[in-house]
Amino acid sequence: MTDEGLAMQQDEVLDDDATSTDSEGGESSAAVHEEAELSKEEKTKAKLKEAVITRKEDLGSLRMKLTITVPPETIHEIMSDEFAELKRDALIPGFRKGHAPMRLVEKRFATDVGEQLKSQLVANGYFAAVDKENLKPLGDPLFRVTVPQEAKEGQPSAPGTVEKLLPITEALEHVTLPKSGPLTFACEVELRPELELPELKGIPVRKPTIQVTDADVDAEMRRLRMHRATFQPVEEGGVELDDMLYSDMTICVEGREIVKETDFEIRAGNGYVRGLYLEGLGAALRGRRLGDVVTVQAKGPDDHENLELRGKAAEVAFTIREIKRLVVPPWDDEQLERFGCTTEAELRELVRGAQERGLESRAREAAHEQIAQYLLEHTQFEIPGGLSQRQAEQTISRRKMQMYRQGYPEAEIEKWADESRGRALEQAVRDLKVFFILEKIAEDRKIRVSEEVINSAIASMAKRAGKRFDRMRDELMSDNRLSALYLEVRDEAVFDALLAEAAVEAAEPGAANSVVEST
Amino acid sequence: MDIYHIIKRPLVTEKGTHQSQGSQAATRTKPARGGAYTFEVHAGASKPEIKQAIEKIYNVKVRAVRTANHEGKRRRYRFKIGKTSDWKKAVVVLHGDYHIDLF
Repeated sequence: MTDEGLAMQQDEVLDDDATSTDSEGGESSAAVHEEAELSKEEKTKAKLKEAVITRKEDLGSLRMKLTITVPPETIHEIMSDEFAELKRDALIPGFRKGHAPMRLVEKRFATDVGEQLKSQLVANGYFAAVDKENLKPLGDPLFRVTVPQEAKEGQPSAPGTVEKLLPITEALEHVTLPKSGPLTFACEVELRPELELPELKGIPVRKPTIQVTDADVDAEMRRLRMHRATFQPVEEGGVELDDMLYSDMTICVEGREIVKETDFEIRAGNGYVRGLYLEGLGAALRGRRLGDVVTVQAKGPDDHENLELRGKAAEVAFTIREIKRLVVPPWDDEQLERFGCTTEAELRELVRGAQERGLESRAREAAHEQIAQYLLEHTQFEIPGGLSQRQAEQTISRRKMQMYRQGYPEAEIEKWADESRGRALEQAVRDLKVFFILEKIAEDRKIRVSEEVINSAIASMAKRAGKRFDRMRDELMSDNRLSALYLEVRDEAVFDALLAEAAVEAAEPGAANSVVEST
Repeated sequence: MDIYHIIKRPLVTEKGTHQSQGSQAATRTKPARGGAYTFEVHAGASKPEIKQAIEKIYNVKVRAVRTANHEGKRRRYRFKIGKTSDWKKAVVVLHGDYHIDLF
């Protein structure tokens, strides 16, 4: 999801929260002051919207250059308003509050007001121009400013200036408010893509009929019982695959004993023993009894830690001393009670229900994926290059950070990053396209997610994580993940709405897994 | 005394601003109003010295000078009792055609 796109949504989600925390102090002076500030800013915006002159220049690939001019009379008007307000509250020695002459106030606060006015004019001027021209920008604009050329290391300071694109916080340092005449500044902005939605009714979707067989339930029941399984000694009978054996083990090379161990634990099956891969061990052990000696041939790898085994043919012998087998206990009342059941049949039904729900949810996800694919194939539009690039870089840098923390060598991380760049970009473009399409559908169909739905999603997340609801919500808010959750829930709602109108073709019950896996 | 030692600083206050604004001529019962500027001056400076200093520094014509000696205020810091300096205020009335830009 785009970070830029999230911000607006997040504000909407968080707005309600802000109002609720303000309950007691709703009529406090702070709130009144805030309101007055807001209306003042709105007034400024309205003035600017009427006055700004904007020149648009298409830079291609959904980028636009805006040259915005604020006329001198508007600057003067806004400045006068600022000073008039300041005069009311200014505390100047020798004067009562609000009684200082305007000229003195102007002189004393000229620098502060000038700075404030500059940022106000640039920021609000941009918004006013965007509003006036009915543009739909994506993210924050970059301002084109002229900055002094940086001197290279070891060289005297380079004369001249250079044009740069900077975010507003940095750009403001290089913008000067003219003493007379208009304020002109230029910025570049990425625009939200315009797209035409395809026919959304009857999207072809293959959705498997969900059917859980007795064998599936049996397997799950056995898996649940396995939690309580224990290894029990086998007194009679031979070794079976996956038994646990305790034996005396020797490794000999050319008749010389290299390794000798007693009570050596080994699983009955092929595998590694002291760095040697024993190919036929499983077959050799099968059916053997206590006291039997089993010998297997192996070849030491060229880089074996023991020099005597390196590249040599070795003979590994096991004298079986003890055989243990995993015994799965039958269901008892205590075990059943843990699942809230009284009989095994009841638990089977519970398991069946859970499996059906799991399959249903996977099938739904698969259907959503098919819808997303259809939407991508039938909607042609361009994504701003910078945005997809940033998105891909973000994904890569996140993954790189993970790899650093996992202790991967730097060279390997960089190699991975270089290889993944293309893939990540492709994925970013796809994700962004799906995001914009779903956003457009949600906008057209007025699909909104209420606070109750968000809260219930948080509640179920909290339940799964074993946390309290309010703590989970706080965590999501502090991590800025609430907006992502909002979008996820909204996307689900959009997909469900499309799925309700889709031409669903029922796949064979047996094909459930294959449809789910193929998508 | 140097003229720049006579005039210490202009006093920019609400009252002073009022006195400087407006230009009402004197009547039989009321003195002239407006065109009067307030300064802190050297405590030992006389009215003619103040007049001369103002005329030279601000290039104006002074009609009258009124002065007032202000006794310093008592101040206490912990157990010590002290006093701020005494100072002198001068209200300088200019001729109608002149004006001083104090701020």
